[in-house]
Amino acid sequence: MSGAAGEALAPLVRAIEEEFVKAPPTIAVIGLSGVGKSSTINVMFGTDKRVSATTRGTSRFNSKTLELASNRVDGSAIRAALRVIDAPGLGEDITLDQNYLARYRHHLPKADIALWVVAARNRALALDQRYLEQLADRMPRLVIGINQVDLADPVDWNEAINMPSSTQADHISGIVEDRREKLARYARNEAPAVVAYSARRYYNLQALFLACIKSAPPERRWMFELLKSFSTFDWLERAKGLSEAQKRELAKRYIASDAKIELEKLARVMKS
Amino acid sequence: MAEQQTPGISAEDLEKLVGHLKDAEVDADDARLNSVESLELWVRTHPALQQAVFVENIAQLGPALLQAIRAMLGL
Repeated sequence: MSGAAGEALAPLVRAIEEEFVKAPPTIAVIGLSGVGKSSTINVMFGTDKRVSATTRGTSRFNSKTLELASNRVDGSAIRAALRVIDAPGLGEDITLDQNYLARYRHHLPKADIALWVVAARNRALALDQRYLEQLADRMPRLVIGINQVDLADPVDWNEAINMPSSTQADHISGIVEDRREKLARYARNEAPAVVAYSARRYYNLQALFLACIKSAPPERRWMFELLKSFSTFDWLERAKGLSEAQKRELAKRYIASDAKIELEKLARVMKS
Repeated sequence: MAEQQTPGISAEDLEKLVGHLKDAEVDADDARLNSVESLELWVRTHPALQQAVFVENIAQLGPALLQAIRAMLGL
């Protein structure tokens, strides 16, 4: 960015870079093995595509700061970072679980967002309930995500529009209420958000992201918005019943434009 | 809408899709506005920024400001 707008914003951008280094936005993602915790973080923040090579890879409990690649016009990179607290193998081995839970208890208070992920098809929630009971006091603002809703019975996802069938949608509503009743009771925050989504299909990610943002401390929410790496179009383009022209037309009509910002207009507003 | 060149969808499905599209964008907008408010709160309490020229304009600039910052950061 050049010109008056860039100059005016330079102190803000410098301060933002310092904040990313000093206190990176932190999200804890908790849930049993295989529910799609990594997939969820990857689609929301692009951590599978834009993490610098030296910080990739999770195999054990992680409280890891992922540096996200940036491509500034002048070639310099900033240290935009996202801290992810994750225990990939929770529920796989009871002898390791207590160790993971102890680490979660240590790290969770540092998290801006605590996202508990369950899989839509899994009705056996006893382990989730047990772990939640042990961790709830460390998570003042919990969000519950129900992933893999595309696999909810009767597993007849409407590929043409990338949405649940009517029967599936009814079933998913029931799943949401059931999980709310069985899991939300352990949360410290009143009425935690419970959001049904599919990371794989980018379905309902905006609702999940909004719930996460709203659960973060008010002065920290902007950091996650800057790192957000998906749009509604990622969901729309997976609707197999639409032609490319139809998708573009719908996007043009309904999706907020990422068109070039009117920088001079920004500069005028900032001077006035 | 443009002529359909693929198997196509029913009018009912199109209505569902557009409904969800609108809902998703309402959520996206809500997140952006929350983030603008959040940024303003952070700036107003930041020792080096609270006297800056643009502080009073953050709300007015809105999500465009976040876009500009993202572009400047190369994210």
